[in-house]
Amino acid sequence: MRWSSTLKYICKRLLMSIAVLFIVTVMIFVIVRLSPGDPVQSRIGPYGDYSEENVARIEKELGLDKPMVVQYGIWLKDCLSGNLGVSLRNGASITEIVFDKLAVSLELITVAILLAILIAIPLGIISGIKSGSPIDQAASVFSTGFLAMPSFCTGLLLIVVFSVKLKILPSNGYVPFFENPEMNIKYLILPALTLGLYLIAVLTRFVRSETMEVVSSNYVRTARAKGMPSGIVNKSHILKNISTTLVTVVGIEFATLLGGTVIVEQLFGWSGLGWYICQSVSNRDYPAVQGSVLIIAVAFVLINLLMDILYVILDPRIELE
Amino acid sequence: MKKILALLLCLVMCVCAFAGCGENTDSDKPTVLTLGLEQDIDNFDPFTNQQNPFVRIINFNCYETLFHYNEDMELVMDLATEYKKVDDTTYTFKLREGVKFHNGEAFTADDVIYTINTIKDEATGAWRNSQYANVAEMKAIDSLNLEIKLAAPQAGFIDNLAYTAIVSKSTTPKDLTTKPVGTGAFKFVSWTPNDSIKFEKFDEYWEADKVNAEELIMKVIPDATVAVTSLQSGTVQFLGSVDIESANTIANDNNLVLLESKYASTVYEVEIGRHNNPALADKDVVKAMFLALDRETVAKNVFSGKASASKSPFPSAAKYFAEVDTDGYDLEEAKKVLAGTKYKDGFSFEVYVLNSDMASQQTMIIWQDALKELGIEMKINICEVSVWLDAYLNRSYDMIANYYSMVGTDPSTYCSVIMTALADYQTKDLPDLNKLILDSANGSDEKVREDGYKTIQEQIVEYRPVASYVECTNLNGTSKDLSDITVNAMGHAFLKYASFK
Repeated sequence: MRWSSTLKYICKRLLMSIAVLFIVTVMIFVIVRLSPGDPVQSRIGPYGDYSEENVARIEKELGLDKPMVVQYGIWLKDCLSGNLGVSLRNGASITEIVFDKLAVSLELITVAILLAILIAIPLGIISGIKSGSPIDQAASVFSTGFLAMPSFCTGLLLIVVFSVKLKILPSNGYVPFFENPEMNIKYLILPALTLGLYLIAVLTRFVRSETMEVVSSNYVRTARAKGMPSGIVNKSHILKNISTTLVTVVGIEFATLLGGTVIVEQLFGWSGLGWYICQSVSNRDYPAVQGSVLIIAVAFVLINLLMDILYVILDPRIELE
Repeated sequence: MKKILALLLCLVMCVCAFAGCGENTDSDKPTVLTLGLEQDIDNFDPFTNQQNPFVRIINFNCYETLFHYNEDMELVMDLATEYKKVDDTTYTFKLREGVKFHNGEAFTADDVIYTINTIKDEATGAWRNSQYANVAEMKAIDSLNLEIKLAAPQAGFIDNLAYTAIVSKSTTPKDLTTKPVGTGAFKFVSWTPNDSIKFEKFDEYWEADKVNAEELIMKVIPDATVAVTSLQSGTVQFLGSVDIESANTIANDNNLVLLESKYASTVYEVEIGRHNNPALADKDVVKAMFLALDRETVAKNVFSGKASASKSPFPSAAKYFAEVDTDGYDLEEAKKVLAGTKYKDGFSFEVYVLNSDMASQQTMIIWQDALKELGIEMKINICEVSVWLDAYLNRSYDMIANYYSMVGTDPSTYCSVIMTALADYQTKDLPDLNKLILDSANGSDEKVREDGYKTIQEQIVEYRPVASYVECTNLNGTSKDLSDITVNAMGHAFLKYASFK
């Protein structure tokens, strides 16, 4: 019964997601075109030929001579058939580029989040249980420090220490893992650490406050009074009870980072989706911006759905209806 | 708890292990030359690409020209071994023997003819199209001798050839978009958009024995701070055309070398919308405004002494440069001059400045303060590139901050890039100036041209449709372990002789 209601809920959410994505497509399409700047100017460049004929020729070549509604219709039809169009800058397939860049960003985000989970959960739980202890104070200083410090500064600091002074890690670049695993990992360490340190700070504070709330609850006190070993109390009562909200935070951070790693990507030359969007926006590469944002929107919707399903698995009391 | 600690310990060990194996990075390979690009390029089509990384680096290292200007601004022969001006409209060229394209084909006079014809073809959309519109006839005397006839004398013709990459007659602009085929020392390997471009040494290059680098990697690093830290860390060994702030950091680092061109080739200027704002069409108003701009202070403080006050609209490396702008900073005189105009009570105007152009931003702030003293309100609109470009190309500004880096030593290039575009806008009321620009570009008598360009400079300074305030040299950064890279005043970098100490 529970699983059938969950399935119904998922179907309902999927239908809603389609509506959300439709609205997203309209918004991206309109916003990109309302923003100042012109892809034709970008194509011709400052010293090129701005005669009416040449401008008209390029507009036609880029498909910008048609009414906006027609342009939208063509783009939507192509998207539904899996074709996100071609770049106005270099004629490359957006579908190919976006999925390549998405994979690059996902590698960075996944490693950063794993790093954060591995460090922040134990650190947050220890801080929450031993509130006021030296570990808790150290964790507070650490998390406040890295929350206050912008990623750009953290990244530059790491570059100065590990690349400029110690010269043990490259400061900038990207190589696909399957092309050169060793170099890929070397290039990955500093950007993952930059993102990871911020995420560790966010998650540590969150886990600490949740833990403190759970630790003072009756069922934990009862479990301890019954003489249950602290390891089991931590795992079965504390960790389990903070897990649903932890999933929410991790999920939201993950989805936000999909397009939000632009500064770290630019700083470390990590050629991911955030940086690609940023460059495409300044180049007024309409299809590239539209395609990238659409893929991020789809990922966001899917992650949200996944989180809802995880709630059911993690907390049997939750019924999705 | 123990498990968690063990896990943490493992993680720390992993990080240390990776850090420990960090000794063998790309930068340690003495045959790989890595340089930073301030932006990615759109394509490798030499006919349409106007982007700095292409025009300054790829154009001369993957492709090649008949000849180029070296750091002393003297012509050095590349694909041509000599040229002769037979008469005012006829030139002959002797081409280098034994040169091959990256696709294995031999380089001949037909390739030069094909390149120029492709530029002349309107359908190509080549940005140098107007520079070759005057070519009337081209004839291959034999495979290595070429004659070009012009319809009328064109003094800047040889200058234009010094920047024109020669392509193989078997390629089309479309082929070259993603796969460049040139005769240069470095052959294209791969391009990862927004990330890097890889080249390898071309073994059949006509001077292959002098090419030291086996690989050439160009990394896209748009942020100037990141680019300099990459140079400091050894991730890249060369940065071309850096900004003043980066130049200072490079100069203060013992492990880096700041390469400064011998001649000033860049002028920082404002283009003034005389057609949009009547106050700015009054030459005395503009004169007063410029008397209030302390250019020496700007050169010293904003440009850290790596610039000097402009004496002409042209950079001093340009041919026929003349010191025609001698007004210095004089606020009292500015007030007097403004008092004699109908704008003595002041007015307001807006200046567009690119958000990435820190030097212009700081200059405008200094100028804004001085203009307040005259009762003139300058609104500074710091905008991103598309907004700036939109205003620039539509000439919809009161004033726009810009800089011009020489793309040719002949002033006809400056005039065609900057002045011709203004003919329908802020110089529309100056028909004599526009005629003089056209006549001087097409003239062949050196004395007449010299006089013509002197008058052009004087008229530009008098009416100031464009006003230069400082000029500076081209600045580049290299690792101290790298030598024999040459960069000319226009920022063209020649990497083939680069060697690692």
